[in-house]
Amino acid sequence: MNQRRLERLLLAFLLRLYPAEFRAHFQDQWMAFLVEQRLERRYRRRWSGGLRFWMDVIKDVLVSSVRMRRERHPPTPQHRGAGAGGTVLDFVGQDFRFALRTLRRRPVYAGVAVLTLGLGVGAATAMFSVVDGVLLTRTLYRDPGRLVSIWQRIGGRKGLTAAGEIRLKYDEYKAIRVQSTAFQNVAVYTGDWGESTLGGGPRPELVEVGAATASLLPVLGITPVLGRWFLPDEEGNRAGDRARVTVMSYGTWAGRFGADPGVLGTSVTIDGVSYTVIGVLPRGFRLQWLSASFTGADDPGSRDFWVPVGSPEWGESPGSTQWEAIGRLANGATLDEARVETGQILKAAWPSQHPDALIRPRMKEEVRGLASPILLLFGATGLLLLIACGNVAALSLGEMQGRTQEVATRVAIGAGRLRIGRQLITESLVLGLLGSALGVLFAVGGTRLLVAMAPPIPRIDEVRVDLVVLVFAGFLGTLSAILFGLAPALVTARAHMGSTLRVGGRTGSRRQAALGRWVLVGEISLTVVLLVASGLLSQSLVRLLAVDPGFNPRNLATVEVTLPDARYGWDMKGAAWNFADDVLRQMKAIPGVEAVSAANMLPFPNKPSTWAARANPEDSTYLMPELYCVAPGYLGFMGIPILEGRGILSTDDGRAPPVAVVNQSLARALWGDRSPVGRELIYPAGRVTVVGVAGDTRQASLARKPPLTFYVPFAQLSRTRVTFAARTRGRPEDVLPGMREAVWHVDGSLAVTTSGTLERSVAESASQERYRTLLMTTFALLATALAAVGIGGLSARQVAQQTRELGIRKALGAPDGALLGGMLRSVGITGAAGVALGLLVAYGVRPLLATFLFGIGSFDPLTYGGIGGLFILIALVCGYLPARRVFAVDPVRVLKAE
Amino acid sequence: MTSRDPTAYLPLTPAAFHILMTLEEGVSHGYAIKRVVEERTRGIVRLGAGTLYHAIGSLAKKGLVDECRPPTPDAAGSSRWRFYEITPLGRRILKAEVGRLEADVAHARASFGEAEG
Repeated sequence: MNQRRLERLLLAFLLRLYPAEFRAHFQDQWMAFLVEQRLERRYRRRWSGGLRFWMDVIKDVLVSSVRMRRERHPPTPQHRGAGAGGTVLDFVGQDFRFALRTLRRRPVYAGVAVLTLGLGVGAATAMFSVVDGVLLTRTLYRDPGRLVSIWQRIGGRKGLTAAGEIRLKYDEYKAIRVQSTAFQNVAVYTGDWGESTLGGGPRPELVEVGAATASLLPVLGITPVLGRWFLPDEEGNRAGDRARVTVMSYGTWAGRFGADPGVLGTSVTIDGVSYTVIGVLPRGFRLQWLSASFTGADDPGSRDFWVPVGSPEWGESPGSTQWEAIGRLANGATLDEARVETGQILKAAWPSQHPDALIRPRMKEEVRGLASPILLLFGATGLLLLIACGNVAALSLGEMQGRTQEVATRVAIGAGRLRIGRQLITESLVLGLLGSALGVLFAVGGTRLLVAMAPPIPRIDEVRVDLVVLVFAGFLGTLSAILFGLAPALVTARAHMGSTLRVGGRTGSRRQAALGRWVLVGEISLTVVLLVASGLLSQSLVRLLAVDPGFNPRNLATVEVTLPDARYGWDMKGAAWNFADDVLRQMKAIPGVEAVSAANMLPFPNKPSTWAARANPEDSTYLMPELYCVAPGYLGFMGIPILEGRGILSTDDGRAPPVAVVNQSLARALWGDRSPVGRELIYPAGRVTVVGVAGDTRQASLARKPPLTFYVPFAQLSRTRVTFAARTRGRPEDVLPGMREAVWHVDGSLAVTTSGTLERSVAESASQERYRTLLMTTFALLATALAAVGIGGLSARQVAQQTRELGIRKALGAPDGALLGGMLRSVGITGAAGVALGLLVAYGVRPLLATFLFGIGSFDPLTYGGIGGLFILIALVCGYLPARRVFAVDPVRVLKAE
Repeated sequence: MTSRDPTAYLPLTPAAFHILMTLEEGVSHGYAIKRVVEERTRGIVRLGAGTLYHAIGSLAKKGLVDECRPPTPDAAGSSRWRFYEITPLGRRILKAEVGRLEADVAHARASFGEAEG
């Protein structure tokens, strides 16, 4: 829901406060007036402006509606004048003033309750703003429910199967697009072009480029804000020069080109090729490259430039499954029909591969993998809020025990039950409003913190506290306060009216104390659940970071370049390798560098480059291993062990016979127990002889199993993406400037990405897990603090209420230690009950957590036991601090008072 | 409700007084009245939508203002707004109110004079 619509709804609600007659006459004028007023200069500032506007409007509505109603029903003479006030609003005002006075007289109670509520509401609201921004996306797509992703699965009858989804080839896309009836339209695109170099400016700049078919925008139901999108004849290999057109993102247009409409028709140079600008995409347009998530990192989906498929280097290379497909279902067509039909089309065209289609709702895929961790944390904040509410309830119960005398007195002098109930409601409401206000402050700060600390999550930059979130906070705070502040208050009020004066109001009822203890048990159990979750996540993170990646990431500095195809492309025989070789020679001379090497990519942060590979030409199915093009000596340089045969040598150059080294997993998958050395491996770039077997390495994620991998000499398979790595004696960061210079020394026109150090890349690969653990731990600690306050409060109340009893027992000779023990026993029993219940609940909900754990079971006895014991200790300490006052009870004074 | 004796309508509420004063200068609509009043009083009198239309409603009921056609048929946004004009009765009552206020102000001045003198 956008802000304007929400404001309209709010206005419509306020309008209902007026008498029907006024509405009938002036509804439209009133609305038009306020719409106009909203635009006034003094309401224009984003935050304060909105607030001021709504305060003005609400004040006006309250004042004028009361006046109107009073005119229609003039107050009777006996009600007019002093104090008694005729209207509901007068009553409410009186109640509020009284509530504020009451709360001010109990600053500790009010302060703790408001702070507690604020924390709970703030945490829940901050998390909600993330949920709202990332998961409840407002998409630009038209009718997004009909958009689907199209993948294929290639299955073999026996033996080798490639797991998971495979993207489409351009031919497959064309076949589906032409033959399918289940789809209204189909498009393919790729976001995997890597970074490109934008020329023309004073310094080369890196930009992200995507390629797509002319059908993409029609499928999504989007039109450019300026100019146009690609035409069908600008797409494909035969388009030739017609395909040298580009559409840029709104951000690029506004930023780099100053939002100049004259940009249409001008040309930009991307990777040395000139493109004519024909359009600008609408603001906020994103298209996620879903495949990125297979390796752990989600793609935010923003590309600076789009070019047509087939423009100029976008060939239809055989076997290259680089296209992600997106289709719009025809009216009435179901997912299943589309899947069956697409499968038939693929099978008919490529019978030998036994392909099958996978069709999935697009919107679900865009948030796949994001939803569950965010919802886990959202759930955790929900528990935190419940704990906060439990605290408020316990506090409120305690307060009511202290106030029974006051309530009874007021009843005795004639206050109606309703009047007292209303007073209690108002007090809860005031607490709730103050708590919500504090919660909003916490939420604004908390949301900023959440976003600042977040690992790359798509759309995280759109997360902000907006009106929807504020309404959520207000609703949450008020509801919590009323439910958990009022309910216990009413229970006690009813129990005590009339009876308390008789017993002198010294002791609270047993039922009340028991209720308070049960609330606390619940609170403790929820806290224990959070503590167990955070304990398990923390241990899981530690174990994840301790995983051996299969290579040595220490003291490795890396820089990355993307070479323009025009000068270093596929057909420029050996140009890329010659460049890399020259750079390596320069880098070797940098002081502090021990050894250097290069590859098209390093295992972290890995950009997937899977190729179809098989062992025999007769094999109808193939595997999808990762391909690394590496400099001679790369394996040894990285510390990847060679288990059999040899590594890539400098003699494996362009003139030598093509060779490859496979990793252990690929060797086992293709040849089983037989030795792969000397055998042939077939992949789209040709047939190569396997000369060695290397150890497995983790790639992109420490949690994933090492993927199937093979290595070929860079000199034999040229790539335009090169990552240079240097092993250093000292800090790897120190040689980065020298490495950049080395690149520029060979080719000054290249943009260089400083990846930094491999160690950091490995650590960053666990950033999602780290974020999750950090947040969960924060929530658990907050919960513990709240529970501690609750336990302390219970204990303090006990002491206060039993002062008289304690004094008498002391006078009768009971030792302090025994009295203290008695006090602590009840705290200990409450704590133990809460812990036991909490461990049980944690055990019950452990499947929810299991997917987030690595290397540790969701039932880890040590974690459960440790946290249980720790919490009982915390409970005893929190109980002991107030209970110490037992020592100070003076039996003489107590008896005198009797 | 209507009465020939203007003093029966006095005193006017501040909102009613400012609305009549604005309409005395010419036909206008709700939001425009608000802007004029705000400018004239340098922002001291800020009429909210409810207060303004409530006042216009009761003025219309008493026959002091009347709904009328837009001054120019094609005035920008005129279709959205309803326009009001002051009636002859309204004018008489505005004058009566101004007279009453003048008398009050004179009285106040005189009492200052006494105090200072």
